Amino acid sequence: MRNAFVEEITKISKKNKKIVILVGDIGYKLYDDFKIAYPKRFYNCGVAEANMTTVAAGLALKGFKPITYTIATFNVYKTVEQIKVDVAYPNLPVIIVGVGAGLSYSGLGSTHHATEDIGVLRSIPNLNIVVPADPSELRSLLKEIIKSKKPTYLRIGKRGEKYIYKNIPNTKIGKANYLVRGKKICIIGCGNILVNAFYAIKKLNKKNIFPSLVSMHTIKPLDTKLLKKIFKSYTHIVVLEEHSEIGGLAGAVSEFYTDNNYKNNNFLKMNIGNKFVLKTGHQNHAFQKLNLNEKQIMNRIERFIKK
Amino acid sequence: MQINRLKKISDKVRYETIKLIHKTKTAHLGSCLSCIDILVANYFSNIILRSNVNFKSKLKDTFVLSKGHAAPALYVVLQMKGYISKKMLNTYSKPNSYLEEHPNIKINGVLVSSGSLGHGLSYVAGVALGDQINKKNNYHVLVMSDGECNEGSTWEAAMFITGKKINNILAFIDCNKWQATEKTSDIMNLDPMKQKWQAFGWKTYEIDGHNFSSLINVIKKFKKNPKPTAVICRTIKGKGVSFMENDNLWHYRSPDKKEYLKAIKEIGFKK
Ligand SMILES: [Mg+2]
Repeated sequence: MRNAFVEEITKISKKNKKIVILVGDIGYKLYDDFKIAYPKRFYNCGVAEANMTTVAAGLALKGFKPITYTIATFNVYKTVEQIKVDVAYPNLPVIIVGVGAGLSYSGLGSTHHATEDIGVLRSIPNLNIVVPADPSELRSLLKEIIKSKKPTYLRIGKRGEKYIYKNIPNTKIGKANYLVRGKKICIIGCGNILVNAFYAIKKLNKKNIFPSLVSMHTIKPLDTKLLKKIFKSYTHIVVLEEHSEIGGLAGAVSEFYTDNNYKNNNFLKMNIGNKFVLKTGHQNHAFQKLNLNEKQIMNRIERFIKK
Repeated sequence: MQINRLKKISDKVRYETIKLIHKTKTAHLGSCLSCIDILVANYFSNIILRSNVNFKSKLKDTFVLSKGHAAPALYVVLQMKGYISKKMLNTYSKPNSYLEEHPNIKINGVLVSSGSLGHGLSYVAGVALGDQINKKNNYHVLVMSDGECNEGSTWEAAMFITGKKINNILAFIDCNKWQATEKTSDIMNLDPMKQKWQAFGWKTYEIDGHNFSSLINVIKKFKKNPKPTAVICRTIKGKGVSFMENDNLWHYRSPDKKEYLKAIKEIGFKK
């Protein structure tokens, strides 16, 4: 996903002269093309994320469209006060990119896991939160984020993510995308973990189970219009995310559910629970350990539907 | 002549600030009094900050009060410079007023909502970097506190600014030797302050922060050679009122009627 991000932003920056990229000493050689094309609009801010975030706010006051880019865990937890006070409070169009979010850096240990980031940021007013499902959805959403002129947290993976979309989709901030249309069960999810559900569905189809799959790529503002329809049309709702069980997409969906006194749906939440994830090795092993791989998702849905 | 004029203005700002804090029973009077001369030297000397400071729709010269808790003093200055009305000044700390106890970006003449310490220098760095990209020469002045130098982000910004060769930043550090609850030197090892900034690549001065000729001299020198400049201002918390000077009680306490009358009398005002 990070390659798609860099390619796309390099393209966009040709026309949009206001884009400035600030990185926190990450992405070795990743931005070489950008740097050559726009040397005045790229700054390595070092391992000083708090400063980087407020510098971005200062640039935004000057009319620029700054993007801060570093590993999600550092770009959120080290900077949450800067994001709140300097970016969100004055409502400045700064894009905070968290790369390698969720368990992308599984093997590097919990210091590098960003599995609470949505929960941490979701209660900050003015801040949009966008979590693309694959590199194609990311390319489309990136344009929309820049157009929106809103403070935005963009949560992406690292590299080698599988694609779900065959082509670049149309997207709109705050409007979820249907990936698969089925019946009875609806899987609402965000991020690249949707791939696991996408392939699980193909297997479930052979067993005559036809879940829908929705990419809720914008966690904030939440697509409540679609959620309303989903709660009416489906009896079984699955919420899938590479995030803590607290504060993420499941939290957002549950809040909307109780706020509106819905009561006729069965829920299954698939996430990483409320724990530090240890001794996992590669991301795929982490998914397996957490019951989140393709096969496990398939089995869990099969059991769920019998309820 | 200039010096006498500034002194007079400074007395007036002190008087209005004490009055404002007395009337509203709000905090941070000591912190206001220590930096008023620095504010006045910058806003009223007409050397680098002239008109339209922090003009948000077309930002040129900027001023950031990074020690946002000295907001009452800033509001008085903004009123005297015509950025806000007298009527608005009197809404300070009242319901439905943007004049909160820390500066708010919604106020004319205020660039950033400061109050959380250690953000101002990074903000100014971003604004000045924007000028560097646009090849514009504007001036960016900042007042921070000595307590603020506890914050790691202050030093992140200090390294960033000189590392990226961002010019036109003039930072006054109001070293009044106190922070909220204790003497700064009893909490962390801040000194030698001047050498610290020097080591981070800044041009440094160490002056009496209540001496207008020193303040003016530094501002003029900066204008000639606008490299990142840190001015260590040795100041007195509560400056101007004998019974408040160097007494940290006045970080939070606001003067009652008797104390108020005594205080303004010392500055040469009645009621
Ligand atoms: Mg102090």
